[in-house]
Amino acid sequence: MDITFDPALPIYAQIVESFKREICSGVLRPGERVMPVRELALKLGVNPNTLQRALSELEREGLLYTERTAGRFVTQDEALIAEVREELLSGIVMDVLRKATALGCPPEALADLIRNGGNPNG
Amino acid sequence: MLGKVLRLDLKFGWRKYFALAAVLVAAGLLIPFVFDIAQFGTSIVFMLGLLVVGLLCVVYVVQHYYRNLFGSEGYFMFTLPVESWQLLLSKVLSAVIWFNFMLFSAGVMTALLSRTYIDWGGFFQKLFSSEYLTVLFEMFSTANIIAVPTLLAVYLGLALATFSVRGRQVGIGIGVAASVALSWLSYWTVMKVSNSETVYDLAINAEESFLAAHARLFSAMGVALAFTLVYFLITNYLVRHRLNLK
Amino acid sequence: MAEPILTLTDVSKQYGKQEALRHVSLAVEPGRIVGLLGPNGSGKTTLIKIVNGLLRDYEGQVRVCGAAPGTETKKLVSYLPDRLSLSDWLRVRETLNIYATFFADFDRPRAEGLLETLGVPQEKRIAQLSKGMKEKLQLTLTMARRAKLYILDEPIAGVDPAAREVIMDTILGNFAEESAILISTHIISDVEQVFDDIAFLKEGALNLFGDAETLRQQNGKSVDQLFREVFRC
Repeated sequence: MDITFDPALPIYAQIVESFKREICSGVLRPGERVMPVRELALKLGVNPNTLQRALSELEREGLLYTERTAGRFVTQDEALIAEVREELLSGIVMDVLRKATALGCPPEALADLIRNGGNPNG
Repeated sequence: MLGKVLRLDLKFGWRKYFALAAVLVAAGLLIPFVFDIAQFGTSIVFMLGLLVVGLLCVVYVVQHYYRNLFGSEGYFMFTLPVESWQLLLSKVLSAVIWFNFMLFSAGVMTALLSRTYIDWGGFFQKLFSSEYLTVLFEMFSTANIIAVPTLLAVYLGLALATFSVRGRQVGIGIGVAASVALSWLSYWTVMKVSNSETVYDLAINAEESFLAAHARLFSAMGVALAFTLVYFLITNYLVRHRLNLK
Repeated sequence: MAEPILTLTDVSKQYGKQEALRHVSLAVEPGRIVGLLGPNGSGKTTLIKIVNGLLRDYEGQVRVCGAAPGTETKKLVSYLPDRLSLSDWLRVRETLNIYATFFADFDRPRAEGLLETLGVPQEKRIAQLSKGMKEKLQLTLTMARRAKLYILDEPIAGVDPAAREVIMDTILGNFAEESAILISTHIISDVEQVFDDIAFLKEGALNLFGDAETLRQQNGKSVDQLFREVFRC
């Protein structure tokens, strides 16, 4: 994980996002062990408490779980991961839709554009 | 902890003092080859040379005290888990050690300078006799009686200068004035109480017993110690309650 | 909730007519990294001197782990000043000896490891080191102590951006949960994600004290942007 944080937004939320992306894209595999807080905080260059907050949030959502002595792991619940993937995709699409509409592009034209790989000339 | 601080203080300057001592000893060794010592010994050049060495010593001592405690180094020294009186006492002790070390070196130089005039056989025979030891005691005591309160007066003056609220120029003025006034005060009192006219009177007496012969010296010592203690306590008070590193 | 490592209660300091600190009250909890932010002359250094016992005459109350600043608290506080405070003819190795002599909590192996990581040669004299190296040495000595409170005064000022990251990493990597770190700085961008709590010191008074993330959420701005707004002349 190598993120540049936007300091204008809560950092823990950005960490949560980043974890979700990596879990959904398979960079972090189901059941994979997550680095200990201190090590990971150092790697990311963030405050350990902030990271802890993000990890707790991810645990609450079920994407991570803690095994008392063994450490923290990525969930193996494929259904949950799929759900989160859907959520992320939905967010991305809504963002694109919003921006496209602002440029006066209706959803059908947008769909065509997407089918053409983003190339306006087909 | 005091021992640790003292070791640190001694470590800070030993090269300079050893260098000066080496200069004195070298002078003692070499000068007789070039000059007639009877003439040279009282010449301006020699006096000036001694004066320069003496001044350098004073400069080193004062510089170390000021820089180490009130300069940038103070940001380290005053964060050590050590009481302020220990920091101060270490400065006093190391200065006294160097002062006596230089006196001793000057003595060695004198001996070397006048080596052709000395009966060396007799000298070494009598070296540990009570007569010679008494003379040594008198010389070192007298020197320390004058020097130590003066040192503390300078320390106090510098502390006053540093902690003065009124701005730099005034602070330095106060500091210098205080140092001079306090040094003179202790000197004058020492002389008065011991009934001495000059420094030589302190040291020399014609009585028989050791104690009686050195009555003046011992009373002077008492006064000097009292002044030293008072100046030390005042300086310590200032450092404990008014410290403000720039 | 454990006892705060540092509490300031109504602390003020006046120099003649000038008020360097005005009724400052704050608490630093264990496990927190606090940013003490403000422009030069805002009172940060005065506050730090008071906590370290380098300034003895002030109003108000200061407690470090429950005790007033003195010989006992100096055993608990590790301080990195904003200037070189060691004689520059000392060798790096000798500075390790000095720290080991006076501070029981000095972890020499950790210090030597840090020096190696940071590329500071042990045999050189301080005067021979570059400015960045001197900073790294002082930082190493400070962070190698297992103190309760670390006070870092401008650790990244006057250091190039590449070295800044190394310094922040050194700070983050060496801090324990039972300790707290107080970092005073006027450079905020690049480093604000390290802070738990933020204190703004404006003209000697505490303008703001809060959790960094909460501030971001509430204001929709980075701490750096907030800082620029608050301190805009």
